Amino acid sequence: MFKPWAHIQWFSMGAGVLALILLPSFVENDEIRKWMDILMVAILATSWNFIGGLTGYPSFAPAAFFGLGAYTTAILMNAGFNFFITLGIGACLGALVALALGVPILRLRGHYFAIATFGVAEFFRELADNLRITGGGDGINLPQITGGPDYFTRFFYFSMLGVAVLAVLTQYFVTRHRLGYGLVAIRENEDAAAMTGVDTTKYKIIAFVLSSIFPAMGGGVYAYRAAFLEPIDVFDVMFSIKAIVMSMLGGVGTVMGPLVGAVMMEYLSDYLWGAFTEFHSAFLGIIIVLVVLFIPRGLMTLSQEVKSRGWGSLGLILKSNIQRFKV
Amino acid sequence: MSETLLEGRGVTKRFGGLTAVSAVDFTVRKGEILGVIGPNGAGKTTLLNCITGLDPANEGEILFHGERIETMKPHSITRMGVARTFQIVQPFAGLAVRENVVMGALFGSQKSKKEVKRAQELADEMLAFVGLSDKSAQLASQLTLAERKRLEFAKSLATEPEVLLLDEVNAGLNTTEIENAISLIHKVREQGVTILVIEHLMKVITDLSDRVVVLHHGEKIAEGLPSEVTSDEQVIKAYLGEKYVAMMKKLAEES
Amino acid sequence: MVYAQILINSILLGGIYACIAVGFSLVWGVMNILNIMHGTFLMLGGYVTFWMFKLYGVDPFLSLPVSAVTMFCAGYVVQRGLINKIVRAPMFMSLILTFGLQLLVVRLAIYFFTGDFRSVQPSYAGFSIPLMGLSIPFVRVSIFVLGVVLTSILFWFMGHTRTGRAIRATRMDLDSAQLMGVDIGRIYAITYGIGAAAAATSGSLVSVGFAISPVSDVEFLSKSFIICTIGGLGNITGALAGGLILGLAENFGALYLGPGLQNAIGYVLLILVLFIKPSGLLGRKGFE
Repeated sequence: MFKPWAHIQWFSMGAGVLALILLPSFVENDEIRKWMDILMVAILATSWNFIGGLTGYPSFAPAAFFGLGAYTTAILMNAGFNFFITLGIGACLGALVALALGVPILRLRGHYFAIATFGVAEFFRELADNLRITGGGDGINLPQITGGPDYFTRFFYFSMLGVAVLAVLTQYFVTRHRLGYGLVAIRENEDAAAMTGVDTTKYKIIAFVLSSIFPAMGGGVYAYRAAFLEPIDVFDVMFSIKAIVMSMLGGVGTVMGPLVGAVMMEYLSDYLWGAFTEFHSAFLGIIIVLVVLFIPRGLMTLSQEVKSRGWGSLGLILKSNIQRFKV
Repeated sequence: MSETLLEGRGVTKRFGGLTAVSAVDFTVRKGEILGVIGPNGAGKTTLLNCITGLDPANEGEILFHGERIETMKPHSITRMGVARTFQIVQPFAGLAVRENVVMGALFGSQKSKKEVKRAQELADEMLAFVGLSDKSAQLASQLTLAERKRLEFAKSLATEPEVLLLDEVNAGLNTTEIENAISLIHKVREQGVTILVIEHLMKVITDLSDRVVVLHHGEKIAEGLPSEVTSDEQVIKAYLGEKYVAMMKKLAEES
Repeated sequence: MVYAQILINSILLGGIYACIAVGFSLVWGVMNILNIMHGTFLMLGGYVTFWMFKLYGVDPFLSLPVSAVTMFCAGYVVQRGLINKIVRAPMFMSLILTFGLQLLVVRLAIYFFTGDFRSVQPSYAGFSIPLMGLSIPFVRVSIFVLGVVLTSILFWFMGHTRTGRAIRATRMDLDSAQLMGVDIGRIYAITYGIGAAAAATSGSLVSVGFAISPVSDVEFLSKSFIICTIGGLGNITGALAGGLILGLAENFGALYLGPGLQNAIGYVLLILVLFIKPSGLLGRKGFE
């Protein structure tokens, strides 16, 4: 936020969206599916940025809302509802749950907040494992989409793209509105923010609600596409972790950061170790360690520093990053 | 006598067994500078925390414009027009100086729901007022202590307060910086802002204040014009101890 | 009679839970690190015991020191080489860093050990002590007793040795401890090593009475979350109380609500305690 080059951002965002809209006309279904996955992670990362990046509350709840949305779509579609309507209902449900949980949970700070959100996600998984309406541990089937692979690949791709655009636009406006300023004030110093007149409780809840809506919708698209859900699939803590790590890789608290992070991570991982699917999580672990140690403020900040100081200084920048917080 | 702006009646704050502020009454009149002095641990900052809602009082009433505020949340109190600075400055360290002040302008006042652009203009005005314009793009964490104190000023003033509570604005500053700070306080008062200032330096407060309240061990032990208060025996005792009082008496007798 | 049996089972389980959580509590309390690697060290400790039994026939209770020492060294290196680099960063960073390591190590463990569940089965595994009509499994009692003894030793160490006092000094205030001449980097590495050793010891114990696999680390980690949150940080009574409460809640919850919801009960407890008293039932204020 706080950058004067607003229209450059508008332009690049418009160009990006246009490219993504045109993408299916030029590439194979496999490539479209890959971008669908990227968009899904981008939704999670962008949404996490509301609460984790802007407000500074490290939430592990994305998996909870993702799973909630997925199961909402599954249950309602089985009851005969239209797919898009289930997305809307999932979003509302996510927002309501975030609102109800936010009031008590957002009084917690730091690790306690992280643990509470983790506990909520795990509790939801246990619940889905045991309730009859979710099909329990056996999972739940959804109605199959009709039409050929060309059709449904594009259908899901554009649904995911729609949610992603919605999430990014919301974030863009929030960061330019007083709401965004208030959230950043809370992140920087919550007591001082209150003394400056920020209604910290209200703002934190708004951020938490915003961070719940889009993962719930993304979960709905995921569910319809997968046609079968298991609790362990959708309430997976890895969704939360990916959201966090992508945001960090790109740059926490910026609009573009989570997007850049999501594209980089998914694309790189595909090229570098696509063949070793078994070791995917190990490579993700290594990336996490390297990001935390060497580029904790993300690639966006790094690229700005490199731009102003030249490529030759890259080593120095990385070195100073790793020495900044040591004992 | 001008009208009462801020008033406390029997304000009491306890932490466990310790009574940090004990049944303190005070009034702040419109347009004045009220000094609150007392040795370290007298309960001055705690009193400010009660007024601003950071650490609500256990007993007593606090009224602003005759409206009770002692149970309100900090942000509501700020928006009503009560701003403060902290003894240990609390900037948004990771943000630019200008953005710090923008926060105050955006959220401080209820009178006008301001837009970001308008808030930035107001922030620039405030930075010019406290003399920090040339630093506005720097990170708050890069400022010197004196500059950070001025930033606190600008941030609080940007909330467009009617009354400004200053907590030890001079602590840690050198003589020149203190002089600058005092002239800044006078400048703020000329803008029509009422000021309650906390100090433990007697000299500063007598130069600055119209009236003075003295706290000691959480209780109000004196109140009045600076000249009255400084000659009050109880105050001298509290400040300098029994020995000093005895010595002064002896000196007075000898002369 | 059923209740008495469940009560005894709960207490035995609670003691093990306390033992599982104590290293986690130490690392969190002293360094403010939410150590995601805790379950991983526990799992690795369990495998040390398992392989020593399987390959060389070493009695599981005799391999405890080996498991503790190897994991102490591993923990020391991890803290010194990695976590110390970001100790002063926002605390969230250390959480994410240990998570990255956890992903890597668990994946390697699956590669080397396979994902199968393993359990150490010494000849006395099936023994149980009959007592007034109740049956008390010998192995679980031994685990319980050892767990409590080792935990007590740890707390004695913290209170009565030079290193222990240095560790507690750093907990109070990093900068002033440094001014007092404490080598923070080393003390932190030792603390983390102790946390890892405590985890490994409880992992060794768990590998006898229960089953372990590379992926069971998350289960033990979330138990640690719950126990530390219930009991509060930084004291032995907190860990014991948290462990006992969780043991009781799980066993009686399973009795009344069905075994399927056993894990859910722990999370409900966790969330309730956080709502009511975030510092834990026996914790003190001030740790975030």
